[in-house]
Parts: sequence; structure tokens; C-alpha cells
Amino acid sequence: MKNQLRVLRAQRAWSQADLAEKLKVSRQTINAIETGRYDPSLPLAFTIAGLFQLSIEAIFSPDDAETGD
Amino acid sequence: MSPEASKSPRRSAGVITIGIGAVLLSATGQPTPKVLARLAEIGLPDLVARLAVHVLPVVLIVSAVLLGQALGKGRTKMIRWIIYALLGGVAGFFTGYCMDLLVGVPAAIEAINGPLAEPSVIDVGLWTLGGISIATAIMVAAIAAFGPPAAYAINIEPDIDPEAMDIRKPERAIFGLSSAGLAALGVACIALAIARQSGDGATLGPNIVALVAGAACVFINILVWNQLDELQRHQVVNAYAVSAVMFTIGTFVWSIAEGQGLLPAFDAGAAFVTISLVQMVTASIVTGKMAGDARAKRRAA
Repeated sequence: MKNQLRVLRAQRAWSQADLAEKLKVSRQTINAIETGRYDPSLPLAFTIAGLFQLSIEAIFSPDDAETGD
Repeated sequence: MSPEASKSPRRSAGVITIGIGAVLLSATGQPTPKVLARLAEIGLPDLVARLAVHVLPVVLIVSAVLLGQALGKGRTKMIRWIIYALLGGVAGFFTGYCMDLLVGVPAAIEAINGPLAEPSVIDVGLWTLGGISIATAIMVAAIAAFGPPAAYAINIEPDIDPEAMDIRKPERAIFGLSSAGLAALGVACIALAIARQSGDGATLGPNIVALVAGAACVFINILVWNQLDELQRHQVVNAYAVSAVMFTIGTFVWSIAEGQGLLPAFDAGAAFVTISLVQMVTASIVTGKMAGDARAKRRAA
């Protein structure tokens, strides 16, 4: 999956560690999500969406390969 | 202030730390008689020969790191660490060939526990696993205690992600617990090796130490697991899954080697050593792959 986490974080001038603290996960998890190495669970995706006050679809979108485009 | 702005990569710090470690390691050892004899054959005075052998590990180990950095430049993290491991293995082999390291340790153990038999292949594995666990525990404990300065001090990677060095209190707490777990594992392994090498009647003490340390290790690991987030738990599960496959292949190969008389009978000690070493390697690879490196992060950006 692709995501806008890095952009949203940069808009708020948060470091990865800042975001990790707010989401109560490790900084490594934020890094892995941002670099596309890890897709978060649905509960974590909802927590992320809630923090940024956006819908999940506004933050996460499927890769071209996943949609078959 | 963001971590990028406040910290700059200090690439040489790890080399200096490893150099200091090599000096300390060399100070605990003494040259092997066969190496001294060879150096005497070529006409080197005894004092100069001893001095040269003590300096050699420091030169070898620091050179291995510097050469690894040069050869690994521009390559992936996995390739870089394979290069470090290969060069480190060569430096370690020649250090072990030229010097008997930690010479005071066996004497101290024998003074407490009585004479020890020659170690088997499995005993050497237990000592190795114990040594690696305790060395890693010291490094992790340093990060837990001192945070980013300690992480910079042991870093040898040339292209460092400053965000990875932004280690805060919750992470440091987990590091602290992990280091305690690793230290307990190290003590358990070494106590088990001592028990296996002890004569009849002298196994009770080290076995009790091994049992207590092993129980402490399990308890601490449960505490660590409870504090991990979903990604970290995925990593642990993945590492165990890969370990299970590697262990199956390893025991199959061992059974062939055992049948040929190349390896001793595969007992519970061998199973413990094999699966623990495999887990240590696979956990490092799985975690490293997920952590990525600064170059991958820039590509994603």
C-alpha cells in the first residue's frame, strides 16, 4: 500500500518519534509504514486516521499492482 | 528542533569504540606459544614479538571495519553486513590463532567450580552464544542508559538516519529490559557449558545458576513481548518461523554429519545451541530488513 504519512507528518513538523509517541507505537513502526515495508493493522490505520482527522482512504491507497492497473 | 537538524552523522565513532574494545580484548590475552616460536625463528626478540602479537588484533579488527566500510559503500545494508561479518570472521580467526584471549577466565572458574574438561563442539557453541549474548547485552544496556550518544558511539554505518537515533524513554525502557534478558541468556548458556564440562559432583552449582538465569530470561522476554507493538511482534513471529525452517534443515544436515562421525550426537544441548544461534541470526536479518536504511528512506520520499 502507498500512504501519505510522511507528507502529513511533515506538514505538522513532527519527527517519526513524535508521531510514534502519539500513536503509542515504536518509531521503527512509523519508519516501516512510511517506507512501504509494513502495512498497519486496521485498528492502527483507524488510529492514524483519527489522529490526522482524515479518512483511511485519504491516507492509504492500494499500489497499482494491487489494483491491477 | 527536528533530529535531522540537531544531529550530524558521526561515522568514525563506532570505529574508535571498536578500537578501544579491541585494545581491551588484547589486554586480556597472551600470545600463543606456537606463534611466539615462529616469530623467534625469524629472529624477532621476545619482547618485540609479544608486543607485536598484542598490537595485531587491534590492527586486524580496526582494519576489518575500515575495509568493510570501503567495500560496502553504496551497497545494500544486507550486503554491507555480510561484508562486515566475513571480514570480522577473518580478523577473529587470526586473533584467535595468535592469542589466547580472556586467559584469566578459565582459571577463575576452575578456582570456584573445580577442574573443567576440554570443551566439545556443543560446549564451544554454548560459550560462543553466551559471549555474544553478554556482549550484545552490554551494547543494548549502554543505549538504554545513555540513549543517542551511546547509539552514535557504536555505529559503524556510513549513511546514518538521524531519526533512527532519536531514541526516547519508552524505547530505552524496552532496550533496558532486552539487555537484562540477553544478559540472563548469556549467563544461562555459560553456566550450562560449565556444568557440561564439570566433573561428577560439581554440576549442581552451575546447573542451578543456569536454571535461575534461564527462568529469568523467559520471564523478562514475556515482559518485553508485552511492551512490543504490532510490527515488533510480527518481527518476532517471522524470526521464529524462519528459524523453524532453518532448524529443520540444520538438524537434517547434522544427522548426516553425525552418521559420518563428523559431529557429536545431537543432544538437548546441541538443539538449544543450534536453535538459539539460528534465532539470533534470523532475528537480526528480519529486524534489519524491516528497519531499512537511510537510502531506502530517501527513495521512498
